[in-house]
Amino acid sequence: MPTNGRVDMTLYGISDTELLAIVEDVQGPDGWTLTSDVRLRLGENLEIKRSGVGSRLAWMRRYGWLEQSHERRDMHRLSPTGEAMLANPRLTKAVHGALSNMNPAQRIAVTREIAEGGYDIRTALRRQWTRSLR
Amino acid sequence: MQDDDLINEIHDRMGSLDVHRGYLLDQVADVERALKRYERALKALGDPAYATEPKQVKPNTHAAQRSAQQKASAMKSMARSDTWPHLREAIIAYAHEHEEFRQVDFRDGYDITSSKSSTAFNLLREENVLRISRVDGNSKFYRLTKEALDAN
Repeated sequence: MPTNGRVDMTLYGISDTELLAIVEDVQGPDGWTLTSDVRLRLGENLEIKRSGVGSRLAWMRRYGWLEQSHERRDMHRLSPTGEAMLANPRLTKAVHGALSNMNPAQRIAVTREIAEGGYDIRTALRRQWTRSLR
Repeated sequence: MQDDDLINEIHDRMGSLDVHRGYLLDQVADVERALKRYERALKALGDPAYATEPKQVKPNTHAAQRSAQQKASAMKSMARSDTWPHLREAIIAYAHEHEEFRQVDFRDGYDITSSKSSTAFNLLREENVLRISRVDGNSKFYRLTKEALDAN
């Protein structure tokens, strides 16, 4: 990674689901996670103020995957959508088989069907698409 | 005539105020130069109040993207190789035995170069089998995703 040991905080360096999983890993008993705890988990030096973690979490909040505490701006927890993104991403064999047998037009139709979902899922789809199209 | 006198008097006052302003501006410039000299001296003496933070290197996003493309190319090549299924199973089996582990831990028991193990780990991250668990210094620790754990 280009940041010499530290995690590259771009979408190419760490995926959204990996970052959400780390937020879940370090959450306190009340379910809230401090930005500084996520930074420490990712090996960042807290004395260096500049970090990509805060902005990634802020965007995730905007996408609707995280909720921000009313008491502290640096406390977040997974929203129901965020939890759903981590819960069960496994495709059943039947779905996997159906996707494999689709022609290009059907694949585009499926993409359109998914893209017409809510804003949070559309964004997740777009970002996964960006990450996969390398 | 009275107006002319008044005008002349005002001009005189303005002239003297302009001279005074020039004097004050010179004084301000002198004070600012002196303050800067003292600040430089304190910085040279290592005073913490004037210590500068180490310069932050802005990540080169183009280089990161290029590097990501090279990684993706290596991953595609590995996924097509004959050795991939065996290597994949070995890493997953190791991951099931260890809650959290580094690439180097896996390489201890498996004859593979660091470059290949890095590609293999990235490939498993893309498959949503492995994920980064934490980073400690230069060491990245990995663990199985919920999906991979549930699949077992």
